[in-house]
Amino acid sequence: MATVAVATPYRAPRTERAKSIRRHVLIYLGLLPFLGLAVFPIFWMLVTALKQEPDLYRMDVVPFWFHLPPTWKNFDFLFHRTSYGDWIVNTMAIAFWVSAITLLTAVPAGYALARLRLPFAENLGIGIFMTYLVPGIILFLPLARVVSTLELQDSWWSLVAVYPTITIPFCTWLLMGFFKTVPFEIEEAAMVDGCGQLGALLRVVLPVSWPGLITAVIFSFTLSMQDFLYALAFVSVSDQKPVPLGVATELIRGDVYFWGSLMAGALLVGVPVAIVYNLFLDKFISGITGAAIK
Amino acid sequence: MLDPRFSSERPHVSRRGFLRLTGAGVAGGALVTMLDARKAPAQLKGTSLRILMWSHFVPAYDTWLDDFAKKWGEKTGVKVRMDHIPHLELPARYAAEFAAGAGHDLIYFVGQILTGQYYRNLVDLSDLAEGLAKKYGAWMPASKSAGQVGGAWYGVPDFFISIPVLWRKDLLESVGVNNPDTWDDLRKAARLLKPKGHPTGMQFSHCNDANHNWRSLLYCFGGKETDPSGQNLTLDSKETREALRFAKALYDEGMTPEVFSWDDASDNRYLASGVACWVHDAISAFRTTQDTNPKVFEQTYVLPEAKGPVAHLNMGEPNVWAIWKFSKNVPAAKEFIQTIADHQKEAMEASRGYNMPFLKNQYTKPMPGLGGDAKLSALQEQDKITVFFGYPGPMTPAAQEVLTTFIVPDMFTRVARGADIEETMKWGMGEIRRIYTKHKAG
Repeated sequence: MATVAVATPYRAPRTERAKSIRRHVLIYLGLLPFLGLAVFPIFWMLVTALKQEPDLYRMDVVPFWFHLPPTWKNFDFLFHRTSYGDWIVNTMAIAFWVSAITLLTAVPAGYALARLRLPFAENLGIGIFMTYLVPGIILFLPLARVVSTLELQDSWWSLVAVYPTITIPFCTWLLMGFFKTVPFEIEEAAMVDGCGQLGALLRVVLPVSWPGLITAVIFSFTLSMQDFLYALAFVSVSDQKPVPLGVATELIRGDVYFWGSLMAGALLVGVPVAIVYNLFLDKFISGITGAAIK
Repeated sequence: MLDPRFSSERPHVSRRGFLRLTGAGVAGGALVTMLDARKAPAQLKGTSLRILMWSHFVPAYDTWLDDFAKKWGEKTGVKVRMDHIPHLELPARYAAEFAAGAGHDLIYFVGQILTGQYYRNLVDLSDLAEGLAKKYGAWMPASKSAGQVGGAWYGVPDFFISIPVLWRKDLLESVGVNNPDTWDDLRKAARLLKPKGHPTGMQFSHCNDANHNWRSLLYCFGGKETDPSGQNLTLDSKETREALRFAKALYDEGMTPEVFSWDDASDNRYLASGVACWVHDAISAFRTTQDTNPKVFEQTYVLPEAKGPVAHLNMGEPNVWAIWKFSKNVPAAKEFIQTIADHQKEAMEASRGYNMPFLKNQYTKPMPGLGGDAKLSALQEQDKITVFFGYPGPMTPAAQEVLTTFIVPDMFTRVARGADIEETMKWGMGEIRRIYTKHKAG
C-alpha cells in the first residue's frame, strides 16, 4: 500500500521580536479610534482657526480641509480687536492665586483632619466635602453680595475670592485622604529626631505627598480656567475677563459666531495646558488614587 | 461715523464763516438743531456712568455705539464704561446685580423683557418715555408693555428686532413659487426643493429663534396666547391646533432632523451655505450671507412675513433701557437714553437697518439702512404687522416666563416628533397654566 506524504508548509518559529511587534501593532490599532476621538477636536479647532470665513460656510465640500488658502486673520482679530492678551494674563493670575490660597488652606485642614485625631474628624471631612456638591447656580446670588461688600465687582480679584469656596472643600477632602496614606512611622521618626508637628509636616509629610499636592493644584488650576457662571456674574469689564468668559461673550454675538477666532482662542489656551497636564499625568493619577484608597 | 456734536476740536469760525454755517444750518438744520439743542446738565460733569449692554447681532453697531458713548462722555464730562454681554447671559448678570444691590447704572433688556419682574427696583422713567412720545410721535401700542407696569414707565423701549422670511429667488422660481407670500407658498417651496437638496429649517429647540419663529406662525394661524388683558389664557384653540398641524407637515415635507439640534446661528449658516431654500430669521442672517457668500446673497430676498390663513403678524423682539434704583448716576443714565433716542437715525444706519424703531415718526421714509435697499425696503412697513410675545396680551411677567421656558416651541417640537396634538395641547396648557397661577398667586 502506497502512502502519500502530505507536505505541510514550513513555518519558522516566531521570534520574540516578531511577537513583540505584533503585540504592539495590535495595541496601537486598538488605541487608534480613541486617539482619533481625542485628537479630532484639536484638529478641528486648528483647521477652523486657520480657515477663511467663506470656507466655513461651504456645505458642498468636505469640511475637514482647506478649500481656500489658510489665513492668520482669525488670530489677528483675536489679538488686535479683542482683549485676548488680557484674558490670558487674567486667567493665569486667577489660577495662580486660587491654587496658592487653596494649598495654604487645604494642606493644614487636610493634615489636621487626617492626623490630629480630632473628635468627629471623619464626619467633619465628609461635611466639608459635601459643601463642594452644592451647585454654583445656587451660590452665585449670595456670593454676589459678598463680592459687592468686598468691592471687588468687575475685577478678576472677585474670582480669586470666590473660587476657593469650591476648591478648598474638595482639596481638603482629597489631601485628607492622601495624608492618611503616609505612614505614621516616618512622621514619628522625624519627631524623634527633633521635629515638631509643623516641622514633620513640612520636612517629611509634604515631600512624600507631592502627588497629592500636584493633584490639588491641577484641580484648582483647571477649575479656575473652566468656570463660566461666576465669571459672568461678577465680571463684565472686557479687560478683566478670564478666557472662557471673554471668548464666549465677545466672540459670540447672538446668531453671529466668530468661529475662526473662537477656535483660535480655545486652541491657544487649551493645547499648552493639555501638554503641561500630561507632564504631571502620572502624579495626578497617583494623587487621585492615593486619596481614594483611604 | 462721527457725530458732529462730539467734535473735540476747537471751532475756528470767522464771522463770514459763521453766517455761512448758519445759512447752511437752515437747510440741513433739523439734525444740527437737534444735536445742539440738548445741553447736558452741568452737574453730570466729573461723574461716571456704567452701562450694561448686549452684544449686538451686527458687530459694526457695537463699534458705533462704543464710539458714540465715548464721544458723549467727552462732551458731557461723564466717564462712560460700556460693558457688552451676549443677550442670553444678561439675565444671570441682572440677578447677580439685583442680589448684590450694586452694579451697572444703566441696563438693557433684550428679548427677555424683565421690566415686570424688576420694576420695584427700577427708576420710574415716565417723564422720559412720555417726552419721547411727544417728540417723535406715539409709541407703537404693542410696545408699551415692554416698558410700562401699572401705567408707569420703568423701561424705555429702544428698538425691536424684526424676524422676516429670507428666501432664495433662484431656487423658489425653479419650482414655480415666484413670489412667496403665504405660509402655504413657503411649505410648497420646501416640499418641492427638499428632494433637490434645498430643504428649509426652523429651530425645534431651546433658542430665541424658536420662540419667534413658531410664535409668528402661531399668530398667523390665529392662535392667541391670552386675551388682550393678558390675564386669561386663550391658547387652547382650534387655531393653535391648526398651526401645530401645519408645522408638523412643514417639518415632514420640507425639513431634515438636524433642526432639532439647531441654535440661533444654525439658520444663518444654512442660508449662507447655499443649502436653505428659505429661513425665518433676523436680517443679521441676510448680512452674514452678504459678507460670506455673495453669490447666494445675490439671490436672497426678504419677505416681511408670510401670511397665514387668519392673520399677517410677525413677532418682534423688543429691547428696552432701564435704570436700577441703586444706580449711582440716575441723571447721567437718563441723559444717555435721551441722547441715544435723539440719534435713532444714526443708530439705525449703524445697525445696517437692523434696529427697528418703536416711535411713529421714526417710520418716515426712507428709513436708514432700509429705504435705499430694494430688498429691504418692504421692512419700512414692519411696524404694521409686528406684535410681541403674549399676543394679544401685554408682555407680563407670566408671559415672559412662558417665553423663557420655551413651552410654545416645545409644543411644536413634540408634534413634529410625532406626538399627538391633543396630548401636546394638554401638556402645554398644563405648563402654561401652572406659570400663570403662580404669578397670580404671587
